[in-house]
Formats: sequence, structure tokens, C-alpha cells
Amino acid sequence: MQNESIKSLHEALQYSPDNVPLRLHLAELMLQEKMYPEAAGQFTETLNRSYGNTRAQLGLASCYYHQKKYSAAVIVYEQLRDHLPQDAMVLYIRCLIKENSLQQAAELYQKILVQSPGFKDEEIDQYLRLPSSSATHQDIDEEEEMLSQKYFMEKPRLKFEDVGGMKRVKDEISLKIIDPLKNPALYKAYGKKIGGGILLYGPPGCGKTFIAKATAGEIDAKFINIGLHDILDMWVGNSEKNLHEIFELARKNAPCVLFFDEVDAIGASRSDLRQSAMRHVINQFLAELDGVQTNNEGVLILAATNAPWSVDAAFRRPGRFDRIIFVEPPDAAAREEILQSLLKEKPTESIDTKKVAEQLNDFSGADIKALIDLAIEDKLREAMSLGTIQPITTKDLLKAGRTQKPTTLEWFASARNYALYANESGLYDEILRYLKIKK
Amino acid sequence: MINIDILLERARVLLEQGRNKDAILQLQQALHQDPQNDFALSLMGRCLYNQKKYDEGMGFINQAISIRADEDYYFYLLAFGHYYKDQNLVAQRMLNKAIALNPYAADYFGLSALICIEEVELKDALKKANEGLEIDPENITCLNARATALNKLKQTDAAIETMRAALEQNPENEFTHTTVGWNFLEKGKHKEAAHHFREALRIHPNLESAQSGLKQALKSRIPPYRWLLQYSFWISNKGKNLQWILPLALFVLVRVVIAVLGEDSQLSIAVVSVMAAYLLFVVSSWVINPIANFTLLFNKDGKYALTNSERWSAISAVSALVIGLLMMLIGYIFSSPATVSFTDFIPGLILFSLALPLSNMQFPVSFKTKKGSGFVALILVILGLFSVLMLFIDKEGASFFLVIYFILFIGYNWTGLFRN
Ligand SMILES: Nc1ncnc2c1ncn2[C@@H]1O[C@H](COP(=O)(O)OP(=O)(O)O)[C@@H](O)[C@H]1O
Ligand SMILES: [Mg+2]
Repeated sequence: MQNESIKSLHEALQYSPDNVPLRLHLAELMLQEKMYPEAAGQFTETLNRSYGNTRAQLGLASCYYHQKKYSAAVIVYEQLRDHLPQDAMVLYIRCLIKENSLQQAAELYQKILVQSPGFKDEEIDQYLRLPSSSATHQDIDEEEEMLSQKYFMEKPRLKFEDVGGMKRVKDEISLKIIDPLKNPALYKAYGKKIGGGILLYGPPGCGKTFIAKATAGEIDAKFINIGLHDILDMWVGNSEKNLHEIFELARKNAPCVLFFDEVDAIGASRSDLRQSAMRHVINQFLAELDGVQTNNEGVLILAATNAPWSVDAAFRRPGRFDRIIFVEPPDAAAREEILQSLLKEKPTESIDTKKVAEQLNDFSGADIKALIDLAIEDKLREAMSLGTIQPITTKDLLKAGRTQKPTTLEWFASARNYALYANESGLYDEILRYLKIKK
Repeated sequence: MINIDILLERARVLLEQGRNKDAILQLQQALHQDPQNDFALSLMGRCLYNQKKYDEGMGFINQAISIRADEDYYFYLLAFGHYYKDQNLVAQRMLNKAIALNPYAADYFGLSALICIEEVELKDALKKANEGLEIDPENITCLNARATALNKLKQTDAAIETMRAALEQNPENEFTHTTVGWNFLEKGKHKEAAHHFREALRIHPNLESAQSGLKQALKSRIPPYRWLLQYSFWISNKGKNLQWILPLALFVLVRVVIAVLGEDSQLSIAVVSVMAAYLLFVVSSWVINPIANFTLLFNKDGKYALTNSERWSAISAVSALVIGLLMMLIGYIFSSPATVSFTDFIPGLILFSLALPLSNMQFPVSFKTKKGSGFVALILVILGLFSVLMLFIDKEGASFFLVIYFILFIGYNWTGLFRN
């Protein structure tokens, strides 16, 4: 029956190839019939005739999703971002999950939940909501469930091996917090105190957030990401989010990585006016860090900042963030690893990653990601007009590398001055070393 | 949908923390909900100012004013934008409006005083600063403006007293240290100046006025540069346009005097010598700068205060000077005293003269330079090197290029008088 109408529509289109509604209808029928490649072809044709047609774009993205071309789908969805109906949104989120962009996925998911609070999607829930009702816990702690949703507690699958380069950072994290967690008895035997966190700093996009998440994945722990907005809301009036409840949640879910992103926002205010309100948050944070009331055992505390100079000095005392690690831009070898890991599931053609990596001085991981997106967008446009998938080549990446500019230089221009003029306790020696400045 | 008040409060905090991009995101959401929210518009303007996008920022402030024309602070913000864009007259007008709406904000008077200083209206500046200090005796902007005005008015004791008061008020204020630094520099005390600039940079390492101040202070360790700096302070205190008018006036004077009295009169000779001395002074000042920069290369802090372009300009200009001198010296030693002639010195002289265009060039060298004078400088360097080469190969052919080089060189330096 359906096949019949597809056939007749096809014929009708032979006579009026420019009839957009007709072609859309055909494409949507094909999609229903799971004829994904054909449907994709028709949607593309439609787009050629009616540029920017939302229905066609949605259809095309849905074809990509079913063909497991997630990154292509993501690109289309991204363009439609603010006009996505709920079912498309669900597909979009699933694509993002497949692409490992969990944070973005979580944000969108929250949007859906705001619109329809009762919404459920098993596949998504599996990654973004942690079912606190596992077989062993019969009594569902509703409040905890609510909290873990509020702070997007998750269980990342990301491992250290997914993080390109950063060998030194990985070693430090292992030594300082993973090993003690794995062999607590050994540490106790030698009377070595466990505790204290790591503060990661460096230019944006070089993988601070990424490696924090991978730390959780590496040891199969849960991950709570407290971002700029959570921190901000602590002292912007509607502070239902409170520090104590965050630490409690982490303790209850040990082993757990509790990560404070952009931690300098706690207390980095230039005006003295709000000093008292700020002081309060800082003190509470310090008290929780020190684990005064409760034990922080099994909770690994990581923090990251692009502006270490704005981090309150009290944070750096022993037992708090007493290990401070500079996360530098990836060197050529690391860039190659990052390229390889980012290109893993994309259509490519024997790419000379070494050559590309060597061209990308000063690029951050995020810059490399942006560059690949740029190349893919180009390819996608090509593929749409040709009707076939074009693999990404070395040349495409080199070309994108010339358009995309590295973003780390701006950070170093400012960081350099801190290292030169305000490096009293040698805090920024690593920046000086990286910039090859001898003082 | 998030409550607009929360969005605005977030934006305010983010702005205070210097996270302009994040603040803008919040403000966009707020303005999406209520495009007529003047507070959101004004915050947006401030974020854009921080990103040095003054025109865009003023656009938002103007919008805010069109919604609420009785908010003095918006006029103050608008004045700030104009001040940054060097539109001092408009800025003062906006400040007057702000002050008319609210005569009790010391900061308004402070900014007004700073603008007066820039316009070399020092008495007015002092008056404004004092008015502001009557409202708030601890206002840092007014204290700094007062100290600077007094210093330029040569009321040194009062200036020092004010600076001390400001530092006592808040010893950790980077702006005060910077002001104190500049005031010392103007008094020729480069060591004290350097100390205060360093303090300012310790507190706020990216403060540009402190960075450039430290650079000047370090360069001032060589006396000719110190004198030059004193001269430039002096001339800028004489008014904004003098730097530009002085050579023109001298030139006209020379012409007139010669036309009236003839070339041989004593007065003509005197005026021409003044003009020549002035030219020599200005031209040598162009070379002193790269030489001073060159000395910075051997200084612990100075080394990193230079930009790449300044560094290469200094190295190449000083090399040209040294090599040129050496060549002239060698020419003198190896030619027998009987046959020594001017032409033996030409190659060295040309290399020596190349220091002038080299000290004004942007590095890395590019033919696509936006400055016309930079392009001419580049041509001069190439032409100069080429004619030196020719001198060794084909003396006759070289003279043609030498003439072109000479004409271009004179033209380049003559127009240079009016360039900066
Ligand atoms: N070392 C790396 N290996 C793989 N991907 C990386 C790496 N560094 C950065 N990226 C990519 O760049 C994105 C941004 O990095 P992120 O961790 O958010 O940077 P930061 O937190 O330092 O600002 C990551 O999501 C990841 O996709
Ligand atoms: Mg991050």
C-alpha cells in the first residue's frame, strides 16, 4: 500500500521535479518506511530546491540519526536549535550522547523536563539520570533522586585513554587521588593522610573539564559537575542550591568525583560591597572541603579555573587544593592523539594526522574539535549537493586549520603578565616555563 | 523560564567578575524577555566597554537613556564611552547632564577632572577634582586626578601630599600606584616611578597604563631618553596641538625671514640654525627610542616589556648604526690619508642612516602594512641596501640609486615631523 503511493509519487515527481510539497511528502513516506538512504536523498533534493526548509531539515536529520550518522545529524539539529519539536529534541539528545557531548545533552534534556516534567526516555535516562533505585536499594530516596538530577550526577564512560596527551596530569591525578582511593589500607598503614583536592588551571579548551570527567570514568565512580551557574546561584538569591547539600550528595554516592568548574567564581568579585555575602559562601566551601562535620572519604575533589589569580588564596592551603596543576595546550604528539580520537567514528580517508597535528601550534583540544566541525560542515555541504558521502581528507583538515585560529594565545597574553609581575610564591612558574621565560 | 531579576543579578555578578562573555549571555536572555529593560541595556553596554567595543556599548547605553532619561548613571556611562573614543567635548557634555541630574556623585567629577587633564585645562581639572573630594574625601578617582593636576601645575608639595593621602586610603589600589608612577616620571624620578609601576602591576598585571609606564621608567635609565621624555611631557603640557604646530611654525618662520631679510642676514642664519637644531633633535629622538629599547633587552624586566616588533626594530636599528659606524671607521683606517675622500664613507653613512626607517618599521616585515609610512620605510631599507651593494659592484650605476635614496630619505623624514 505504502509502496504503491511511494511509486506513484516518484512518477509524479518526474513530471514536476520542482514541486516541493510533493517531494517532501514522498521523503516523509520513505522515512516512515525506514528507507533511510532514499529518504535522505529526497530531503536533500528538497533542500536544494527550497533552501532552509525546516521540515526537510528535520527529516534529513532524522534519516542521519537512523543511519547512525550522529555527527551529521547533530550539525543539522544545531542549526535548528531553537525551533526543535520535542520528538526531534529527543533524537538530538540521543545523538549528542552518542557523540559523548553529555553536558550539552544534559542541558537540552533539562529543557524538555522543564516543559514536560513527566517525560521519560529510557535510552536517555540511562546516561543522564542516574537511577538511584538500583536492585539493592529498595527504598527510593526521593530527595536524593531529585538532587542528583538537579546537579546532573552521572556515571561517565569516558576513560583516561580517551583523553589525548596530558600524561603529566594523568600521573598526578593517579598519584594524588586515585591510588589512595584504591589502596586506603596501605595509606593508613603508613599514616599518610588521605584528602585534599587538585586544582587544574590553564587556557580554556585544553581539557580540564574533560579530564575531570575521565577521572570519574577511569575509576568507575560517579561524577558531579558543579558549573559556573550552580556557583553563581549560590549567591544570587534563589539559592536552593547549597554547598552542604552538594557535598552530602557526593558523600552518599561515594566513590564520587566532585568537580567544581570555574571555581574562581566562588569569591572572585572585585567589588568589596558584597564581601560579606561572598565571605559566607567561601567559608562554607572551605568548611565542606575540610570535611569538618563529616568525612570526605571516597569523595575526590577536583576543581578547574581559567583564572587561577582570582582563586581565593585560602583555597590553596594544605588539605584543600594543595596540588595545583597547569594544564597546558597539547604538544604535537598530543594533538595527534586528540585528532585521532575525535576522528574515530567519522568518515575519513587515510588521514595524515601527524602532518595535520604539526600545523596546529597553540591549538587547544577545543580548537581542534572546532576545526573538525568546520571541515565536516564543508563536507556536508558538498555531500548534500553531490548526494553521496564524501570522506574527510588531510587536505580538508589542513584547510580548516588555516581558517580556524587558536584561542589559547589570548589567555597566554594575559597569563604571562601574572607570571611576570605577580608570581610571588612561584605559583605560575609553570607558565613561565611553558613560555620559555627565564626570571 | 528564568525570572528576569535572577538573570540580571547573575549578569551583574558576572560583569563584576570580569566574565563579560558569560554576562552577555545572561543579558541576551533577559533582553529577550524584556527588550525595554533599561538596566539590562546598561549592563550590556558595560560588558561591551570591557571588551573595548565602545561604539556598540554606547548604542546600548543610548537605548537605555531613551527609555529612562532621568538616570544620571547612564549619562556617566555614555560619557565614559566618549572619553575612551577621545571625544572629550561630548564626554564633558554628558557628564554635565549626569551632574545636573545628580550632583552628589564624586566619580562624575573625577572623570570630568581626568578629561580636563587630557585637554590640558589643568586649573579646571583641579577645581573639578576638589569639588568631587568635597562630596567624598576618599574618592580614588578624584584624588588621582587632583594629584596629577597639581603635579602638572608644578605644585609639587601639594601633589605629593595628595598622593600620600590616596595611598594611605588604599595601599592596594593599582590606579593610585600608576598615577604616582607617572607623576614621578614627569618629575624625572624614574627609579621611584618604576617602583610604583611595579606595585601596580603586582596588583593588576594587565593594567596597560602601568605596563607602558614601567617601560618608560626603565628606558629612562639612559639620560638622552630621559631628556627626550621630559621634552615630550613638556610639549604635551603646552597643549594638544603644539607637537604638530611647532615644526610647521618654524618652517614658516624660516621662509618668511629669508624672504624678507635675504639669506645672508644674521637673523636668517640664526633662525635657520634653530630650525636645523630642532630638526636634528627630532630626528635623533627617533633613533634614541630604539636605542633605549635595545638597552631594555639586557634588563631583567625590560626584556619582556617589549613587544616583538619593538624588539626587532631595536635590534635592526642598532645593528645598522653599529655596522655603519664600523664601515666608516674601516674606510678611514685603510685609505691613506692623502687619498681619503668623502665617497669612501658613503656605504657606511647609508647603513647608518637606515637606522631611521628601521626604527619606525613594523616587524615581522610585510608589504601589506596598513601604514603608508611603514611601506616607504621598507622601500628605503631595500633601496639603501641595494645601493650599498651597487657601490661595490658598479660605482657609476650606483649614483643613480643613491640620488633616489637621498631624495626619498629626505622626504620620508620631513613628513615624519608631522606623522606622530
Ligand atoms: N586532551 C584532549 N583529548 C581529547 N579531547 C580534548 C582534549 N582536550 C580538549 N578536548 C576537547 O575539547 C573540549 C573542551 O575541553 P574542556 O575540557 O571543556 O576544556 P576546559 O575545561 O579546559 O576549558 C572537550 O569537550 C573535548 O572534546
Ligand atoms: Mg571547562
